[in-house]
This record gives sequence, C-alpha cells and structure tokens, in this order.
Amino acid sequence: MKIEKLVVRAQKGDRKAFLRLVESEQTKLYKIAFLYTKNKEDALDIVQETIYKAIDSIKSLKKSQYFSTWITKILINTALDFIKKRKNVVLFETENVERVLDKELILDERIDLYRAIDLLNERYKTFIILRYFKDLTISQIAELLEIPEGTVKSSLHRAIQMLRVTIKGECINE
Amino acid sequence: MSNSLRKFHEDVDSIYIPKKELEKVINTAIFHNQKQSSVKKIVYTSIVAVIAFTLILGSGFVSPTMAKMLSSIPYLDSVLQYQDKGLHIVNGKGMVTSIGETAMDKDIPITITDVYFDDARLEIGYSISLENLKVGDLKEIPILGVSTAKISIDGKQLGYSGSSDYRGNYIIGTFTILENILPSSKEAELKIEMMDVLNKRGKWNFQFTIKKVKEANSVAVGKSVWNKKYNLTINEMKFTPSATRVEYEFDIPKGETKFDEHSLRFILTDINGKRFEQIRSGVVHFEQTTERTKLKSVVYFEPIPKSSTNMTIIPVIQEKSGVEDVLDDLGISIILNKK
Repeated sequence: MKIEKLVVRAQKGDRKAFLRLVESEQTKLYKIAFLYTKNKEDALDIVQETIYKAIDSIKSLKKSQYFSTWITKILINTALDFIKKRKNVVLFETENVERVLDKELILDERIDLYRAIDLLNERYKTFIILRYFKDLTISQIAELLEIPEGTVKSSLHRAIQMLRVTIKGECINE
Repeated sequence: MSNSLRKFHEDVDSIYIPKKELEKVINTAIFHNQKQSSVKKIVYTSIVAVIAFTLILGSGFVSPTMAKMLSSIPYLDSVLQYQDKGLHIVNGKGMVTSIGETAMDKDIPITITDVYFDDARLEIGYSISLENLKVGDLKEIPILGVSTAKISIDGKQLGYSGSSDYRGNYIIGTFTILENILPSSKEAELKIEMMDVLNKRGKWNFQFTIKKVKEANSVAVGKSVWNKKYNLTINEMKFTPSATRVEYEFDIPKGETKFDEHSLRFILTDINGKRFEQIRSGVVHFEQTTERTKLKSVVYFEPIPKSSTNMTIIPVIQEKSGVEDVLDDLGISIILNKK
C-alpha cells in the first residue's frame, strides 16, 4: 500500500497503518538515534519517545508523501531534547553566518567519520548526520531544521573544520 | 563517493539493530498511546455492566443488551502479530482473521482478538482487560492469563500450549495448537471454553468457524550427517505462510542421560548466511535402541522467501552456563527446487 494511503488511514486512527509506516522507517530511525548516543538503550528510548510524539501529531502532517522527513525531524528533536536533559547544554545558539564556498564543504579523506562524530557537539553532529547519512542537500536540511541555508552551510563548514582538527590531534573543546 | 564517506556508510550499515527490542518499543509506544485514549471509556462501560447485569445474568448467558454492551468494550484488536515473526508476516499479508468477540464473567472481560490457521498451526489470540483489577491484585495471581481452558475443533477436544504477557492495562495471550493434532479439513468449528482466569473460576465461552489459509508445500529431504558423538537427520521441510517447519531426528549416545532436549535448537541460514529466526519447537519424542537415544521432533522457523533455493540447518546445544556449542560439522544443506 502506498505511503500516502497509509498516512491517511493513520490520521484517521488506524494503528495498524501507523505501524506499517513506522516499520518502513524503523531501521533508519534507530540508526540516527544511535549515531547521536552510540548507546543501544538510549537509542531505543529516543525511538520510543519519537513514536509517541508522532502518533500524537500525525494529523498535523499536511503532505503525506513527506512522512519520512517529518518523522526524522521529530526524531532529531527528540534526540536533542534527550541529550539536553542529560547534559544541560544549549544546543542551537545563534551564530554569525559566514559566507562558505561549496569546496569548503568537502570531507577530508582521512576522516573516520563514524568515530569522529562522537567528538562533535550535538549541533554539529546533527548536520553531519543529515548531510552524510541521510544524504540531504543543504536546502533540504534547512527546510527540515527550519533554519536558513546560510546557517546550514556555515554550521557544516564548522563541523568539518572540527573534524579536521581531530585528525591533527588538537583538542576540539578549545 | 569519497573513501571517507564510503567508510562512513559502511560503518553505519554495520550498526547492529536489536530487532526484537526495537519492535517491542515500537509496539509499546503504539499500545501505550492506544490505551491512553481508551482508559476513561473502559471505566464507565464496565461500571454500567456491573451494576445493571450482575444479578440478572447467569454465567454463560448473554442477553442482547449485554451483547451490545460487550461489543462496545474497548479491546486490543490484534495480539497475534506480536507473538512471533511468522505471525507478524502473515498479519501484514491480511491472513490473520480478526474476531473481536468478548465474553464477560466475574467482572473480567476476555476478548478473542484474532485467529490464524494453516497447515502448521492454529493460533488464537486473546486479551483480558484489567480495568476492574488493581495492579496490586495481580501480584497474588500465579498465572497472569487463562489457566484452564478446553479447546475443541469439530467437537474433538485438543491439547494446546498457552502463553501470556502483561501489557499495562491488558493481559495478552495465545493458545497454540500444532499441526499433528489439527484437522486436515479447510474449515472447522472452533469452541473455546475458559474456566479459570486470573484466579477466578467462571465461564467464558466462544464459538466460531475457522478457515485454513493456503495449503502447505512440502519437500522430502531424507539427509543424515554424523560426527563422533551425534547424528542429525532432516526428514522433511514444510512451508506454510507463517512458518518453515523442519522435521528432524537427533541421535545421542545412550550414556548421555543428562542430555536436556530443551538445550537443543537449530540455526537455519540461506546461501548468503542470512539467519531465519526459530519461532517454535514441537514436543520431543524419545526412542531408545540398545546403544542410542533418538530425539524426534519438529522445529519452526520464520517463513523463508520464495527466492531461497539453498538452505543450511545446523544444530546448536546450549549448555546451562549459557555457552552455545554450534555443531557446524552436523550442518545439512538442503536444495529447494523452485516450482
């Protein structure tokens, strides 16, 4: 059954339809949660909380074909809330938007991204996950996070610079 | 794609997915939300039932008014899909029949939620609403579910196995009848009489027609492999929509009196090494000869895709310590001919 039909049914309260929608996304959702926490139990908690929120707000999904993006956004916000509660940090402070050239967004070949993202804060981790795991474009990331494209570019740029710093062995917290 | 990105994708691909736990949290999230919206309705409905009907109706008799009230008691509409992978698959294909019939006695409403019937098994799902019970009362109850029931098909009483699980405001459970005692007919009359539920004796009766889903395909295997100690023979494989059934014999030396048949399980893989989940085991029959003891039984795995042509089955003995002894040298390869 097409996603659009399942969403319509789920919005009418059909739990089985909702379950089928979630089943098509569950592996991706778990992996994103795991990339944030690198902990199975925490990742499962985040996925569960995401489903609760998604059920409560499914009626607000206006374009049913965007179910995947919509639930990913809920998951990211849930993951960030989860981490915020644990670490008591501010995650999305405003920053000066610098002009970034596309060539500055190229990853260094030497970076072991899977391990290196553990050293990033959650803000930069989010951009790296969305860009390199979900393969979203800059404009798609901007739309999902509801921030300007320029902010996405500069944040990605800063994240990649930090990853380069980790290769050089410097402390990225300075 | 750059090497860095390629490696990242490879690393992400190899993230271990705890499938059972993930499915459980998803199902819990959906159940939890469902029961949250139903709680108030349950409380009011049952109060009306208790006041208006307890003194008037004897157990086993359902007046039209009571029947209408029973039909409005919220219940979990599907239990079987959460029991094992095979049932989950057939539920997704629309092969599990929703029943939704509720019987009430001793303030306990029990609903037969769904039924599945094929050549390998008959599965009956039920849910018990706990709105009339306090959580503290449950601690005193030795079996959270149906303790005693009679299950008859076409008038003949059959043996069954049961399992149940506590899920917040519900207990969900299943009755399983395996194929060696099931009727061969495509349709049958099923009668369920529950007599002992949550430490209360009463009568909760159900009767309805069940229909078998499509017929099974069988493959005669007849292969044996020996090692120094054991022998494994695979006699037959049967494929139903909900399960892959493997009939086996496992020989052990007669001197191994401490061999626990429950410690024996199997791994089923395809040519790519993909494992298929074992979902059930049958009753083990023992045959003694002068030097050997033969264990004869069946084991059920999740359904395998039609594209699978080459399967391998390997026995595993699990010690009490939890250590598993995978008997690779007893692995049997089975070629499945495509029809």
